[in-house]
Amino acid sequence: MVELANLQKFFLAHLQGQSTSIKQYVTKEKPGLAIYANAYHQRLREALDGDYPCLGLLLGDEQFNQLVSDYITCHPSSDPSLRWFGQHLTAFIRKQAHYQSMPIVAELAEWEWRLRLAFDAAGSEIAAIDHVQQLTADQWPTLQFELVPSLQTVSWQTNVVAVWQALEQQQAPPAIIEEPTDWIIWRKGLVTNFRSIHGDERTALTLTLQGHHFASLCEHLCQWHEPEAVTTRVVQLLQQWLSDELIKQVIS
Amino acid sequence: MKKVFHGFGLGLRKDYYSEILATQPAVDWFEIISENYFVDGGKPLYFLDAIREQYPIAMHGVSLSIGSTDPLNKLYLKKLKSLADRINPIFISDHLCWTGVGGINSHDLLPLPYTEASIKHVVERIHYVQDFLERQILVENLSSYVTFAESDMAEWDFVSEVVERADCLLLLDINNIYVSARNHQFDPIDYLKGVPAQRVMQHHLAGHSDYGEYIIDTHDAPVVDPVWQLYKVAAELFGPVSTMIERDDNMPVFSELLAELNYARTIAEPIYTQQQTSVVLPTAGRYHFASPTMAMSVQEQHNG
Repeated sequence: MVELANLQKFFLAHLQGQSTSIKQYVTKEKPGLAIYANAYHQRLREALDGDYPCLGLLLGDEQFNQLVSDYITCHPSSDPSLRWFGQHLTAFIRKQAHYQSMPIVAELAEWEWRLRLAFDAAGSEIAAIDHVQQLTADQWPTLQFELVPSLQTVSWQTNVVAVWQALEQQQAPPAIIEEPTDWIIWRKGLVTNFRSIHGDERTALTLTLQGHHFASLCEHLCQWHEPEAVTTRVVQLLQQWLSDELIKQVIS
Repeated sequence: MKKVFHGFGLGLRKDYYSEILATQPAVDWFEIISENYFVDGGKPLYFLDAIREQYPIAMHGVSLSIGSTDPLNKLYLKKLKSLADRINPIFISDHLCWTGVGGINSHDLLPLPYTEASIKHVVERIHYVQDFLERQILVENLSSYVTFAESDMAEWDFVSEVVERADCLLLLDINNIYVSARNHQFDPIDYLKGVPAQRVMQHHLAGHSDYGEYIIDTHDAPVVDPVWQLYKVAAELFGPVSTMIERDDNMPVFSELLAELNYARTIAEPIYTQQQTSVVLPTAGRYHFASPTMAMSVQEQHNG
């Protein structure tokens, strides 16, 4: 009699394609074990297909299938939910020598995963524009802004977003070019949003996430703008963030 | 132990969120896959909360892995309890199986050997889970494609021993009985007659893929006639049992599922009426017997 723990280890290893002694412990080895082994791979494959549809289109079936097979082997699922099975794919791609000369592959994977993160990220209350308009001038220098939990900032080296948009609409993607850009992704209500941002907004968002107050934002953005224009620019950014529902709370 | 009857339900799947809210279909309750709602926000929880306002919800898990030899996942149990606190489900269920070992999740429902050792192992863990959740859980019988040489009892004897000793409830999947009966050549009626009727709290019905020599439980097609026939026998044996139809792939228009669910009603309700069984209905439930003259003693009870 085999210990239950060993039986389970043999069974799982068999599903993963390893050679084990499981066959001696089961009846109906055929087609039973093959049904389980096929289901194991199919289920994980479907999870990645769902999370990375455009990556599959970019790579084509043969390359994507190989990537998925390698990933399933190297990163078996450890989470109770298939929702998180694909979470290491971007890092996995970045480690593959084959893809190091094609940065768009990892960037597209990361883009699709980040959109997925925004989809079911925590919601929060949203700061009201009215509240900000009622603040007095002496309150402004020390104002802090807590941003919504779904907000992510990301930098790309390629035109990955344009490529993704074309693929998502089942159109031929544009030529892949080097095009450094910064983006934000967040959820407004139930809808995932994204837009490109300039370097000064990226800096302002980073500082805001670190807890810097209004006066500090103005000070740091002087590297981008003339001192007499910087306050106007920061106020403009805040208006945009309020309109986009990026600010959870204004702390005065 | 009172057997509460919640009526006839469907699996809550994202394809139907908006339609359910817009049309408020005549479904008595919905069942969710618990792990799909282990998220922080967004559409899944928004629609779950909105639909929960209108319908009772059952929580059905796929990763409790009650039969695994890995330690129970405490973080998983906390998430399960947190979700239960959020929606106050009518049932919390999972499968009498293991899904992984060594920290790896296969995301499949893998069978156990039907032995005394397996029973002891599973019963101890169900006790722990029920203590943690502070309520009875339901365990569901599997579809299976292999059996183990060391099994020394019938599946239904294994299932019965587990639910009796663990003092838990049974989610009896009629399609799974049919699938396993075909795959392992046993009489499904023996299975139905072999489980403790008083612990059968819920039924699943589903379609499958029939490859002739074997069947795979795929939940991608309508319920087949032999499964309806078994369901009729189940209704005769077990009396009113909350019943739902699972559909997870090849999703039809919602009205098709509704029609299939109504077919389940037409099979079970006349039998329940003839039985004149005393049935417990929840106060917050949506189920109403079709005929006000049905000779049933109706006693109200709160959910949970």
